Amino acid sequence: MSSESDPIAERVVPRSRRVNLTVLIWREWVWLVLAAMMVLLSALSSNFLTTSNLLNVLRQVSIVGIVAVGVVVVLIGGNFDLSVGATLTLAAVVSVQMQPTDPVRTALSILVPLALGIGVGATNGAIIGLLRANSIIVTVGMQFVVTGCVLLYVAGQHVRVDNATPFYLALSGGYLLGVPIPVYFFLFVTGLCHFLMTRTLFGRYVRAIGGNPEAARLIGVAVAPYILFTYAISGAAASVSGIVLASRVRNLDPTVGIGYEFSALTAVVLGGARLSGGQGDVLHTLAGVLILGVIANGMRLFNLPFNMQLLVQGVILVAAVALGASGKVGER
Amino acid sequence: MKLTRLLGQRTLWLLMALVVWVSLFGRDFWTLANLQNLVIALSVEGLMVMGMTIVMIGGGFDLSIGSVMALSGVIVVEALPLGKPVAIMFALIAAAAVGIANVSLISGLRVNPFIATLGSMIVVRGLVMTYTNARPVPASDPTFMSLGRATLFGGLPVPGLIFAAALVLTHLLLTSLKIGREVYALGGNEESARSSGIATYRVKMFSYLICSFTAGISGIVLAARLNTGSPIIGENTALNVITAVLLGGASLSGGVGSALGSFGGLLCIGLLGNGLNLFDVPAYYQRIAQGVLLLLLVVLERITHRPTPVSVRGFAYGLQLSGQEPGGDAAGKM
Repeated sequence: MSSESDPIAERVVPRSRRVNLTVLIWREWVWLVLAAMMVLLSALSSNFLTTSNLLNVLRQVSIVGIVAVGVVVVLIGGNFDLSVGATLTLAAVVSVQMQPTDPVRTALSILVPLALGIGVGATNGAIIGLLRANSIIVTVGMQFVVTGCVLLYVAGQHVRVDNATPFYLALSGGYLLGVPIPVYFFLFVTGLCHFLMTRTLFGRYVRAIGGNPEAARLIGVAVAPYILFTYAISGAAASVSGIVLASRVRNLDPTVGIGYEFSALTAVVLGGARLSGGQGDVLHTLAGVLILGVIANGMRLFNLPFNMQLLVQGVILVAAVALGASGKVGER
Repeated sequence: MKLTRLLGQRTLWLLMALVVWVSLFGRDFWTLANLQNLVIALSVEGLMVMGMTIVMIGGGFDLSIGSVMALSGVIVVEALPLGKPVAIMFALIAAAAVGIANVSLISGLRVNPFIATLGSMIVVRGLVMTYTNARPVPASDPTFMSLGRATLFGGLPVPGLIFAAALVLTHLLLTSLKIGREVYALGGNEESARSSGIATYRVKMFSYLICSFTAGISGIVLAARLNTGSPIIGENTALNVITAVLLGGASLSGGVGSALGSFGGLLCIGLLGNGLNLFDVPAYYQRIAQGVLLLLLVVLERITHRPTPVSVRGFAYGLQLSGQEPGGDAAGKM
């Protein structure tokens, strides 16, 4: 609903309903969940609502958050991207293997993984967009290929870099105005994708394709390039995450990115994106990512074991989505 | 099934090519030991492929099977002191409970199946990990192993027998029983299925229960084979199983697929892996080869079958992997 005079927005969401409080609550459901959890945690622990702890949460979620933003863009276009974990691993491993010990190599260790990530994404997008192939199968296939190639490249061994340049270290460890640098990356990627999806023709078309590709084609949208772009965005996002992760860890297991696709998808789903495409909001995904981060943080504050975290995370996911779904049913 | 339609199936051609390839060039393919290993490996996943086929024909999705496998494996091992039948019953009840929870979320609360089962996947895994403290539980009863390792009729492993029974049952169920036709109708169009008087809730309950059940049995068989209840098994199972089902001609939007097709998909993946093993191909190359096979299949499919405009409902956009028609013509699309 970008502008008041938009006739399509007018028809989809009538003016009278736009100010309806119930609708607003159900639409912004995920933020309410986040707020409720933050209130609860602040009441339970005095250590939660401190600037340093909140910044810590933000820093910790930024890696999975950047991935999730890419995944939601693809999902709005009606497709899945299950290869992001592999792409993240690829970017991280290549970034370390470039050995960023001098300025030129530092530049390479950022640019090469980024290019590879975009390449993997574009390949996914080309196969899915041009051939209209099943996105789950294609991206799972790509996941196998990329993971295999990474393991082959490093012969299954850990990779490490010593004496990395301060600039490279600052990518994950630096602070600007008291806020960790990865948070800026996260917020920048989120803002950029939100802008793309809400204020540009690109976003409109991707949404249209996700809603009904046949209809989008019939009104003259070239479906394939848009799908390709969404995957390129997702690949780029995953590789940015990989580079940040590499800069943080610097001693990498070549299977480091396994499972990131599901964490990202969980956040996206918490953010209320529709899995069949056409609906989804980058900012809601941000909220979903923050919810996951707040849960993990709360668990750590109370010293609960990791396995218990998994359990609680799953329960909250199901509960939030079930409540959200029942709300949408009521709205209908 | 008519011969022409059979020959039109890409999985079948691929399968034949794979069989020729491994039997001509793989030295030890036709040895009893290799075939037994292959049968056991395929059976554990194959059971779940059958359950998943029913769920996916009904337009559903189940990501939780890997976690259910771990759950039932751990429970059966923990409950062994009570006697084998009781232990197996407990494990199956636990598996069924997960299935009922899935359906309650999907049907009762109208949560998307993908999300609901993603949630139960995480919750069940968390439960198992918390309970076992992420450590494998060794089985105390040596006779329990026989369930996974014994052979019958001069060499057929017991898991293979269980799987063969599951395959036949699933095929009969989908082709000849009323509930099978209702599963196709549900997947074809839920709204019209409901309008035409099908109790969609019951059909869903049935399909998810069967799927969880097969995962439970797989978990028990695997635990018997390993003589251990492992909380970490099955991490990748769901995706592998879904891939096999999709290769076999099912679609994410439901309404199409068949037990035999899924069996073909399973065999393709299994034979490829086995062939690569026989050629001593390193594990990393195998991963790449599997990925390339998947990509090639979809690409070939799309090049040989130019995409026709499909009526788009939910996932339906270009998702039908194989040109296969609905397994049962009349009730498939209503």
